Amino acid sequence: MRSFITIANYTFRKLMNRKRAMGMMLLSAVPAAIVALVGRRSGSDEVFHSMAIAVSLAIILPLIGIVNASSALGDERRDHTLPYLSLKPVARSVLAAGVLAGAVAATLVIGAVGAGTLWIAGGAVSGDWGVGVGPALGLLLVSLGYGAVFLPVGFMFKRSTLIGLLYVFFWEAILASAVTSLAASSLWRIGLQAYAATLDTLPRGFTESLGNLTPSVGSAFVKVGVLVVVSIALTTWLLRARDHVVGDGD
Amino acid sequence: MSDVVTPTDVTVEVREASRWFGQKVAVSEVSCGFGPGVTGLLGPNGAGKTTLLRMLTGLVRPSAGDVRILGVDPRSSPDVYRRVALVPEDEHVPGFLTAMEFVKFNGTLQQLADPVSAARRALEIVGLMDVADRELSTYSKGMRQRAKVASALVHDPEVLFLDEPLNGTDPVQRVHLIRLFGELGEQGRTVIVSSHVLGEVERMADRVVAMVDGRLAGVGTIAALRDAMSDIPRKLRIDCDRPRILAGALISRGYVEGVDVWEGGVDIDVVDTDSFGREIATLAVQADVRLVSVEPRDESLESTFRYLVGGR
Repeated sequence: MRSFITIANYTFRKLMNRKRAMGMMLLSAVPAAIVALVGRRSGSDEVFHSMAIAVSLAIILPLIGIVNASSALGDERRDHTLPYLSLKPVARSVLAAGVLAGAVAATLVIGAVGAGTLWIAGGAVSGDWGVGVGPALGLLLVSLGYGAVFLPVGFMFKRSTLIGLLYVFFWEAILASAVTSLAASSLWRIGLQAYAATLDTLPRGFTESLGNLTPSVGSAFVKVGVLVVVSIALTTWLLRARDHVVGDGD
Repeated sequence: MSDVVTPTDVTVEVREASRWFGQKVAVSEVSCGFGPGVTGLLGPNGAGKTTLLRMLTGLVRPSAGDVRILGVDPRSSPDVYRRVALVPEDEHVPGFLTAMEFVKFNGTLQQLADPVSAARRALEIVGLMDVADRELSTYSKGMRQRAKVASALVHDPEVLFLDEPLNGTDPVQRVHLIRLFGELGEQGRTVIVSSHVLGEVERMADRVVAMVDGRLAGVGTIAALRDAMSDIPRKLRIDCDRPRILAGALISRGYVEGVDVWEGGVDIDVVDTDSFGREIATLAVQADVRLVSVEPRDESLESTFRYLVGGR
């Protein structure tokens, strides 16, 4: 357990230390700014929820999750600092799980900045200061989902961030929106599935985005749980089977 | 130099190991063993030393053959890292950590009972305790190098791989580190130090594994390497005012194998540089030739090793 926490803490600090973490925090606060500007005129909860889905959950949080997860092991492998993690008497599965936990924690913290600012903006506009369980669930599940998928992708592919962008803007935004049966292949929609289950009435945007998914907290957690298990297993295998440094050395 | 090293107690062994990256062969069918004491892994840049060290430590897989550290394959038995450490050549370090955090981090993952005390001890050994609370990103190259050494020493490893460990260090630090590596070897640890500088290796190691172009060029003692090098014809360029006269005087000497006259001087191949050094001034005086300069044309270690490989 001590190794797991040490590795998770190392990964978290590495990802949060970078200047780009500050940039991502600013990015995550964009929906709040939009709600503050637009919502004041419309005065409606609809704007808050639309921003929560359309910008935070569907674009910004996925991008943050992809960047963090891809970097967590991928950058270490490519800048040759992975030996500081991998040449240790630590089971490869613990290493994979620790890095994933660190990456997800970094995404959660940056995402929480966005969610917090959105909550403040939403409260200021609508006067409703209730703490939303739905957004918190969405944040957690989306962070876990993208982390789980893009940790091994980052290990395998140098251009993993580009792969992530294509996935978010082509697959999820276009294909999974157009073909309702593909909604289940969209990671942020799993978060939305849980988020929607906490609402009494679904805003219009939620229904459209969910496609053929039924609002359910349990189902969303099961899906993400499977992704996490598969991710750790795959990353463990990659750590055993693949080189830990990229390049032909000397 | 022999092709096979057989230390009494082999702790690190590589058998018929090759590694290629696409079309490029970085290491080709290398077999050798390393035992307690300091062994130099010597070769010019691009010889395959780093790739071999990465294979030995399990960082990269051999494309063929296999490696064993303390009898096990490190890739399938990470527990062996409790007894092994690597100081990588790469300059990148986790710059967001202080040196103390960096070394303690290794101690924690090595599951030491008291990683803080162990880290303090390791940092004192390399002389970084005074600046241990500074982030590594603020360190000079030499300081980062020492921090890496401290991190490698924190768990008291039996086998230590050092990839160009003196890079970036100043002369005082070099003396200190060379003495440290020597002491570790004398304690019975297996210390493998890679370098492309023969003089460095000579000061640290008794035994040498020499590599060129990804192949094993030879294995033996430093003295054997020196002997082998002394037989290599050296190419020298002599600038003088009467090259043809000097060439005539040199051609009859037994230690001169080839002479090539050009407008401003003579290029020669010398097999015994000591004799040449003793006699060239006298020869020039006797032949009434004014010497301007005598310079080696291929003094690089690389050319020396290419000769050794070519002679196999």
